[in-house]
Order: sequence, then C-alpha cells, then structure tokens
Amino acid sequence: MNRSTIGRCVAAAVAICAGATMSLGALTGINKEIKCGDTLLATVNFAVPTLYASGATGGITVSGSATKTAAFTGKMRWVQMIKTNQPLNTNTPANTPYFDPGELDPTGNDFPFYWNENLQGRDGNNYAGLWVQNKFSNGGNTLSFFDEPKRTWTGAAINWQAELSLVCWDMTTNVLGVLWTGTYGFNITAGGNLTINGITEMAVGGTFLTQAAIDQRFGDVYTISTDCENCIPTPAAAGLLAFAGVFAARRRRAA
Amino acid sequence: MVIGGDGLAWIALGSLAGAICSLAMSGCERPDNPPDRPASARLGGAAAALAPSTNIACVIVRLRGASDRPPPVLVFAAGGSDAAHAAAAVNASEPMGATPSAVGDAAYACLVGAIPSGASGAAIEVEHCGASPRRVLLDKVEGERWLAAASACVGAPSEAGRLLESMRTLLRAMP
Repeated sequence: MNRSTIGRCVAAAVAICAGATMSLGALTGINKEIKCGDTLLATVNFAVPTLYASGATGGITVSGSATKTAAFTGKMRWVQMIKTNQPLNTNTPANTPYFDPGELDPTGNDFPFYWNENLQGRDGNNYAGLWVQNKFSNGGNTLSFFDEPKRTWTGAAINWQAELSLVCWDMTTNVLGVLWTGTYGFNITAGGNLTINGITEMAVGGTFLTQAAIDQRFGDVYTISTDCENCIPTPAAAGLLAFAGVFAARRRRAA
Repeated sequence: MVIGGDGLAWIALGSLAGAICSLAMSGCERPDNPPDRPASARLGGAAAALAPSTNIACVIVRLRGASDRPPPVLVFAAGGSDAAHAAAAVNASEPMGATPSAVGDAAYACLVGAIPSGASGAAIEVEHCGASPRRVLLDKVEGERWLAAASACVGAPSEAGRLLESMRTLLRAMP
C-alpha cells in the first residue's frame, strides 16, 4: 500500500494568501494528516518555530504534537537526529548525524527515542519531565514534542540541523515504522547573526535516520522501515479488534 | 460612479480570500513568519530578562548554555514538601519539567551560601528564591566551581549530589 499524506490548512493558506498581503517566509508550522492508503493514522501539528536569543547564546524553540487514531498500532514515539559542527554529549564527529539525546547525555536512556523510555536517566536519577509516559495527553493518544537547542557564539560559525520523525514502534520486533519526518535548525555566522529555519516537511525517513546510523549506535536491534503498513493492524489483528468491539457492544446491551 | 460587473466580482473574490485567510490563520498555523517572531537576530546583546520562579525557599539551577535536548531544571529545598511544591511551581514554566530534591537544613544553607554574589556569565543560572530572591548567571568556569561547592554541601553520594554531578557533566561538555 502506498503512503498518502494530506496537508490541509497551511498549504491552503499559502496558496490563497500569498498573492494578497502575505509571503511565504522561512518559518512554517505543520498541520498534517498522516494516512496509510485511506486509513488515517495520526495528525501532526507544529507551531511556527520561534527564535531563542539570550546574550551570546542563540537557537530555536520548536513545539508540537502528534495525535494518533484508533488505527495506529505500536507505540507512538519521536526520533530526532542532529547534524551540527558543534556536537554535544556524543562521541560522534562534527557534521555527522547523531541521535538526540547523545549517548553521553547523563539524563538520557539507551533508546533511539527523543523522550526517555524510563523514568530513570543514565545517571540513575529520576527525570519525570523527560519521561515519555508524562508526554502523553488526550487519553494517551497525543504525544507532545518540545525542543530548544542552542549554542553559544564565540566568534566561529555554527550550524545545527535536526531531522525529527514520528514513528510507530513494534516492541516485539523492534521495527520502527517511520510515518512523518520534518526538519528545522539554525545557523550562527562568524559575525554572530542567528538565523532559524523550519519546520519543514521532508520525504519520510529523511536523510539522517538510516539503518546504518541506528545499527552503529544501538547494535543490530532496530529495523527502520518507511512502509506505513507497519503502523496499522495486521488483518488478523484487525478482525480480532472488530470481534472484541462487537462482543463488548453486546455485553453493554445485555447489561 | 457605478460599481458593478468586474468590480463586484473582484470585491467578492477579495472578501472570499480574506475570509479564507482569516480561517486559515485562526484554525492553523500561519505559513509565514509573523512580525513578532523574527527569523534572525544579532547575538551578543543583553541576556533576556528573567522572571522570578517561585516564592518558596529553594535553589533553582538551570543550564542556559549550549544544549540539544533541553536539560531538566533542578530544584533544591530543605524538606521534601518544599522541594515538591517549588518544583511544581517551576514546572508550569519549564517544558522539560523540574526535578525536585530535598536536602537537609545545613546542606540547604550551605547551598545558598555558596552562590556567588557578583558573578556574570551565560552558561548556568542559579536562583535563590523565597523571601529574598536573587539570581546569578555564571560562566562555565564559575558554574563548575559552584557545582563542585554545591556537591560538597549536599554530599556526593546523595540524590542531590548525583543531580549536581550530572549537571556538571553537561556543563563540562559545552564547547
């Protein structure tokens, strides 16, 4: 089945408003339905990113969320990879993509996901604010995202770019089905000019999240797939779900 | 002057476009960069103004320098409930949440006493909140020095000590 994604308001607003009083700038929000064939799996929403500047430290603030439908199967997670000439908390060389958080970040876990899978960080402390369980709302259907990457300008040019993906994680097979990918980032010139960009949708999977990259960091554990069928129930599971629904409805009527 | 024909059509088209634009802007994100959200800026100016975090007696530690995923904010107070209440207050404004840590009275007094008075920098922010609040921004060297002193106050093997040590690791990694 081919993946089909449908953009709504943003695309419409650009098309209609561009000729009037607005022009398409470098910063955009996202409001996107993620479909697999005709099946709606999730909606991705991001506000227009904002610039972060405090003294000589600059960066970008990005916030958004993904809301899954009943058709979404597996665990919904964010995966973010960074490419920068000033890597942090990682042994990855400059200008080579690495998973965020890096493997040396004491507050992180050893999973490829942005939010921690465990309450306890690598250093043994509890970080409730980074725990994925605390990032869900709306009955466990909406997963938030927030990032505010920054670097301190010391006279050298700095580049920082992220590729953020929404994935479904099959915990049995460790297949990560990538459903949506976007990119954002910032640049600081040698003269101290900060420019931010994004958040821009890109081809699902992007360019940073490769099988080789995840194998190198986590060993032969995870499989990256851009086939959205990994994120919908198998026919047998779907039949079972339908049966369970009918059974539950009958019990409710009988009660 | 008679307005009709093409004129009316253009007015109608304009109204329709305006209505759709309004709908688009209220129902979803604006596609361009609004005037109050600049896409570029010149760094090196004054650091952003900082608002008080809580009126509960506590010490709040924030990393302000380079980071990828923003580190959590540490909140130390003398007593578990004070630490929890202060962290809850800070949580409201911190997307990554605050991590509370209760310390003994002597350790808390030591933490507060270790905060430098006339420091300036941008790597780490230490705030003494409560009745006589004050806040200092420390550079990397001063920040490490304060974290080492704070660790000594609370004792390295304690939970508070581990949190401070983690922050020191993050600070050290900053370019």
